[in-house]
Amino acid sequence: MQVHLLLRLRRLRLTRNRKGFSSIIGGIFMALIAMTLGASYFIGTLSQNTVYNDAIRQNNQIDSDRLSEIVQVLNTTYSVQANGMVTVAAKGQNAGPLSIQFVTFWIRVSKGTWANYNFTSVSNMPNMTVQAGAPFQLDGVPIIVPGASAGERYDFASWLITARGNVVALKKQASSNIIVAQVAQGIGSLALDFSAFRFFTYETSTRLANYSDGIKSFNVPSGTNIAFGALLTNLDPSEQTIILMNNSQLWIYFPQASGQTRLWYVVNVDPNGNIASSYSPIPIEYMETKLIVFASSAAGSFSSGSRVLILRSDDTCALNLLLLGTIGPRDYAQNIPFVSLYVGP
Amino acid sequence: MKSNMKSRIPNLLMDRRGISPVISNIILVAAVIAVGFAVLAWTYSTSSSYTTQYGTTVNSDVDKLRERVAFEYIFYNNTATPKNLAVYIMNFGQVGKVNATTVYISNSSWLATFSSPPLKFLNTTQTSYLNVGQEGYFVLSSITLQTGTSYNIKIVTWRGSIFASTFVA
Repeated sequence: MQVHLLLRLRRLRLTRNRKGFSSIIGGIFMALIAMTLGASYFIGTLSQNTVYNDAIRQNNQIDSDRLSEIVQVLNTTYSVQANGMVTVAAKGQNAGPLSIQFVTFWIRVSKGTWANYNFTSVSNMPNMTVQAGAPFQLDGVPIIVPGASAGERYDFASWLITARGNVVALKKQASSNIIVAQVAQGIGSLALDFSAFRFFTYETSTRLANYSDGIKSFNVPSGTNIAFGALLTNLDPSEQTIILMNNSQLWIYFPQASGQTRLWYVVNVDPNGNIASSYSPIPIEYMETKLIVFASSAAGSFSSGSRVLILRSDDTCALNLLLLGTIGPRDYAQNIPFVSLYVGP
Repeated sequence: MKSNMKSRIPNLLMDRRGISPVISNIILVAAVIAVGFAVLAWTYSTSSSYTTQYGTTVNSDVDKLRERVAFEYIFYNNTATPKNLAVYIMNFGQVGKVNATTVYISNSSWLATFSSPPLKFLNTTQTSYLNVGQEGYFVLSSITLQTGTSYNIKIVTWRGSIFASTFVA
């Protein structure tokens, strides 16, 4: 109670003391000024520091994302066609944890002291945004490099630019266990995949059964119309395209029956196994592997009457691929033996 | 209470001796208030100015941080007359208006400087800067490099960021 009275007395004295009133107002203003200054400096500095730290955090994230981009592009093939048109095919995989968008494709073509380059935007091409872990394919990207001409041998380098600013080099296929020089210079530029050799029976008079798998066997039936399929890879050291002409054929002969031979000419087959009635030359790009089908008894054409069967039975025969065509501007011819067949009963 | 107040007011008005201290008090208080508001306004304005200035500086630093330039390809054309160096770049940062105000080409014993080379988009249209995601190039003409030798290139943007790469001429 006494304390309360004391406080009241003090308040009365203070309010009646006119001399100190302006000092109080001045003090309030001083306090306001100090608070305004302090608060604005503190809040301003704090908010700007937050902005700066946020920017640093975002930048670190961007740099981290950029470093996380891992892409492998292999099996790159180049072919120079007329008018300096270079076609590039490659297969790749996004091996990183983030999706990647490719924006520009670059190529450099050189030969001796001559070099030229070009680029093309790939951001609008399909499948150029690749999800994490997904494969992708450059399916014959055409790009004009003035000065490059068909039939010449060039050194190629190409790379993709990602939206995050990374440069991804396109690498050529590792030759694995194939000794390219020996295959190309000792035997020829086309290599046969021995283990993938197959034959086909007919579903209809012009359609192959179970295309393109066929029957992977070296035992073939007698007395039935059949066709053959061979996986051929272009390993040409000069990296030129090989084009197979209509007189390329598969030939078998029976050593125990002199004069007993059969041959099948190369044909065009659509993805459903239908054989085209006329033949269009088949190009095989460098490092490209293609299934080549031999089915017709007539060069350059096919009909139900030109299907081929083997009459001899219960005998072994040798098989040769007689390949004719062009390589770059020159003629090309190669004979691939090695396969033996047993013709069943 | 009311009667007390009523008796006081006439007394106060009639008391001539008390006027001058009251007036002086009012003037003093008014002066303090006026000066107080003036100083408060000045303080507010000064602190706002400081905040704005600091914000501008921080934003400028942030923009500089966000600048990113990738070198897509650098091609030395030694068959052209005069010989030139084409530098293809891409702005993959988060801020636009990126250009090259100074370009340095050097190796261990040689340095050349180029100021504000004309920038173009990939479709050869002239531009002053590259915005986010845009690609462009500039050509440094009359430059003689040793073919097959490695060189360093350094680009300085108007914001002061530096981007460097190496290439073989």
